Amino acid sequence: MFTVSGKVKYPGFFEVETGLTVRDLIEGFCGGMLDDKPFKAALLGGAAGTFIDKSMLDMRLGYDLLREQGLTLGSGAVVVLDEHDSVFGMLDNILHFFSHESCGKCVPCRIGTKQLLLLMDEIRQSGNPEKVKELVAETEYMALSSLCPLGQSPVLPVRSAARFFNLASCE
Amino acid sequence: MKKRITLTIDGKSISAFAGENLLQVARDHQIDIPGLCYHKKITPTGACRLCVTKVAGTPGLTMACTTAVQEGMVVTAFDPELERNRKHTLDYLLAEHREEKENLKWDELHALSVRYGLDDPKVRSYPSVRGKANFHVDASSPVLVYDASKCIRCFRCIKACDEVQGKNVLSFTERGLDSYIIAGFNHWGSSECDGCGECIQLCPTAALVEKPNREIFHLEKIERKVTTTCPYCGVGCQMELWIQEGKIVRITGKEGVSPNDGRLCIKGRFGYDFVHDASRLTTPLIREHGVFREASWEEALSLIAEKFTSIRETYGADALAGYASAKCTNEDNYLFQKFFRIVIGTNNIDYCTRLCHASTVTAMLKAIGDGAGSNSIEDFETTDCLFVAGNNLIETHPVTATYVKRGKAKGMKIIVVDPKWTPLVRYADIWLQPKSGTDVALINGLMYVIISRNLVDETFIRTRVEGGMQAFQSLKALVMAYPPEKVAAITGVPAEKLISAAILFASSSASMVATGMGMSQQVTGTHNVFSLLNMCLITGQIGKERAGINPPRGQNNVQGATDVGVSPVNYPGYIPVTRTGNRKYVAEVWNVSPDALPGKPGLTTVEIMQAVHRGSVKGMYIMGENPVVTDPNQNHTREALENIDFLVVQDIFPTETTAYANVILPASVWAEKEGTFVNSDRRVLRVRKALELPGEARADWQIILAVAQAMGVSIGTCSDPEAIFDELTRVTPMMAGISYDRIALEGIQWPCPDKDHPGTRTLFLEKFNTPSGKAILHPVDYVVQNEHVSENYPFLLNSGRILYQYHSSTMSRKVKALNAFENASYVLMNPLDAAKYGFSTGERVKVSNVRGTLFSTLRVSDEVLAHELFMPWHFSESPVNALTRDELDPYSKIAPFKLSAVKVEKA
Repeated sequence: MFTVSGKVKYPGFFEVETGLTVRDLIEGFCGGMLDDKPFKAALLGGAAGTFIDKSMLDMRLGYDLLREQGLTLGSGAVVVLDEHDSVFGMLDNILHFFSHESCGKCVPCRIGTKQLLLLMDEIRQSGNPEKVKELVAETEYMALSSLCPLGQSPVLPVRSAARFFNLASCE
Repeated sequence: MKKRITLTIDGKSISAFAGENLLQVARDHQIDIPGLCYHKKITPTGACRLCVTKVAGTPGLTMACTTAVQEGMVVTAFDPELERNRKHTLDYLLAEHREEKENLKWDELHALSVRYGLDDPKVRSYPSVRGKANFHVDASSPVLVYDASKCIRCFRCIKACDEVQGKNVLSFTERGLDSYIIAGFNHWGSSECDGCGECIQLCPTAALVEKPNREIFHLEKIERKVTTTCPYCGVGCQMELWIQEGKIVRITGKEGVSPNDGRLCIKGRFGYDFVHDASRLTTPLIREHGVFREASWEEALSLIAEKFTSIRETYGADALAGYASAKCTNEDNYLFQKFFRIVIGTNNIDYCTRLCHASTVTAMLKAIGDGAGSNSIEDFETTDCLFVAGNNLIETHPVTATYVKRGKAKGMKIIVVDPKWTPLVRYADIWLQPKSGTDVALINGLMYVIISRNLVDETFIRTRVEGGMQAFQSLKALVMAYPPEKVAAITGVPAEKLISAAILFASSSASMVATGMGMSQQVTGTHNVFSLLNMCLITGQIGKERAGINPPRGQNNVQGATDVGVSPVNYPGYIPVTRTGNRKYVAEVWNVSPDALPGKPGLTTVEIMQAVHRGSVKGMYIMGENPVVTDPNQNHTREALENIDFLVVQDIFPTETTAYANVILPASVWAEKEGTFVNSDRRVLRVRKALELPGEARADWQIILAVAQAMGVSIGTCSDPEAIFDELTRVTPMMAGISYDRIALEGIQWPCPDKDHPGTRTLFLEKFNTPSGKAILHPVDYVVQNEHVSENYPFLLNSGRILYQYHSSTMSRKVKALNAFENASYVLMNPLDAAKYGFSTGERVKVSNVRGTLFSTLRVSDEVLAHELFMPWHFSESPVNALTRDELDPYSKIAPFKLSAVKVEKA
């Protein structure tokens, strides 16, 4: 079951066999990109999921297949972004979500989710690629040390966004 | 059975029990894995994430605090990656923390920041991320201040409140960075917090700090911490006094030792203001022409010697009498009774035990041979069924109650017998609410059910009860007259409740009784306790682990004072004074002639006052008691003391009683002398000197020695408390094996007959302490009380204690924090009566009867039955004892404080 939202003509949810591609989902089920704008990115698996860029459009979707690529299918939610959308902005939004959702029980998540937001601000202001590395390192520490999956999750969107996009330029 | 396993931590092979906590095991073996949310008294939390380790075969990092050790486990506790991770976490914590700069507390977070080289803010990596709630401060409690900016959200306070003290007052509010601790609905002062301060004790930072002395307290100015025993109730909590500039500025619970493992109640932790109160007596005072003037010790002592000597010469030794003190040490009390027996030559010595558990002790001595609790405090947590009769345990023995609440959480059953609601009823499976004074009928009714349902332990009766089944048959013949329907009519307790309670008590694998003032302070006090003992004996709920009968003692050393011989009938160690052989035995240790020791039993507390009133006792020496407030029938007591020839009162404050004294001697508080107390579970505990005496005040034992010396008699070469203790262990067989050395770290429970004996957790496992070694049944019938309601006096007044004040309040009402919780007299009246007579809450009322009158404030409450009232007796301006009778239980001579017919009028 996939739920496709974002910049497609006909968002919706679809029960399909695994093994199809993101391109199949957008073009075959959702009527293509909204206003036929170029595809920029998709977020697979919701807030605690992974970003892909157009190089992955023809990758077959399946739990094992994605895991091999360091990606995740998660809940099957797919959010599609076009070239006018900002991956950095979306990531910032996701990190605000985590910071808000953090219950506060364990230290790495309670404080880490806030530190990530501060780093995002720094990146926005400085454009310093070193800060992007720091951002990824913080999420890796959090993934290793947090009590529950919330604090272990930011590493997925952050690392994938940094892998496919130039976060330092707020792409 | 626990299984021994072997694991490896950092290459070190370690033996532990399967299932033990990995962090604790590591720390026990000097592998100091950091961690802030873990505390061995509470369940693991896993919040601070500092105790990361690597466990071979487990992916990722493993928190030691939430991991149980297993056979063959291979653990890495320290490597560069783990240390980097810990430093990272600490750096995070410091980003949200406001540094402790006020030196209010040893800050565990600060200590770790030093250990990881992060104490200098300049070397830290993360910007401050303090949430908005980080600036929240709650100073509404009288005893503590919570400062969220120093809180690391470790859960230790919440779990201290829930798991350690069973109070469940604290929780988090908000979330994430904005989360912080609240009490109740976010206002500590109006929450259900009762001020025990366990949260402060377990808080690893200065987020929770004591409010008293907060302005002056300075960690670096603390001169010393002195371990001692609490001076309030008989739990015997071990505590540390923090001394700064010669004064107590803080008290904390001593962790890791019995009986309290660091737990305290509000009185123990905060009730110390009185020590440094300006009204302390600091010089001897002599009354002349109705006014007191200061006197030298020499003058005061020679006046006492002269008067005591002349009374003895004119009227005989029995014209003198003494009240010793449950607040004083064993050493003080031992010398006091020795003074009366050797120097004065009378057995007229008693103290407040006569007003508290005398009936319990009398019944227990007769039935089972020991007048002390059969169990150890831990059993209050581990027994299967706890039967609490007439004991407001949560308010009067708060730390014992923590064991009960922890047991309840693990499935223990609780039966409460009390005519008045007490907080323990909240935890009870069954609450039997008999009308005041009907207890014997109630317990006989329970035994009727036990016998008729064949829940009797015949093997136990045959082997351990004197007379076996024959004795049982005569008990049976008596209790068969108490079927549930009849008992329900007498007591008001529904038959079905009686039946369930009886079945639960008899059929649990271990049931234990805790009995209190509700049972003992009646004209039928001894009979009440006989009934309880009968019930234990026919069900075999005594003489085995986790079963038995326990009278939690009300005062710090009420157990010890009797143990060491403050009794008109017994020498130290419960040795009767009437037997010639006993006198010889004691005389030898005391190095006096046996003929010099009086063999005639002395008068008891209330009898002494009655004798004063009659004029047969002409002189009294009162050490640390306040009988004007604590004895029954106050007007009678006042009349007696107005007419006494010569009264010496040795105390720490002017009291209602010192007003009648001819000589007042300034004495010591517990923190000003060395010594020992004996607590409710027979634990002999050390008391240590932490403070210098104020002015010319002296330690009580020194005063007694000086009085004896002034009378020209030596009562031994008692140079210091340790020497006195060593002597008393020679006369007291059950303490023969105890010495100051042996109890330096932790108390020992008597009997401890020799120096290799470990002490005794549970009494009567093999045999009872009676001459035959068997217990004795005492069948008793219910007798209708003489005191009952009438048209003129339509209420039965019950009296008791509350958590926040203590006895006659000489000490506790000088404590600001305690007064903030409760500092005024009140009288509880059932809503039906209030409606009937037109009373409402807050109204001033006059309560009176033939004996006296008092004024108090009415509270309408269904805590009491219709036609019954309840008043706390702490407040001398509303003296409950103006209304009580001095009619006594014939066996124990206890007075019936629990039952006085009165009327209530609008004031």
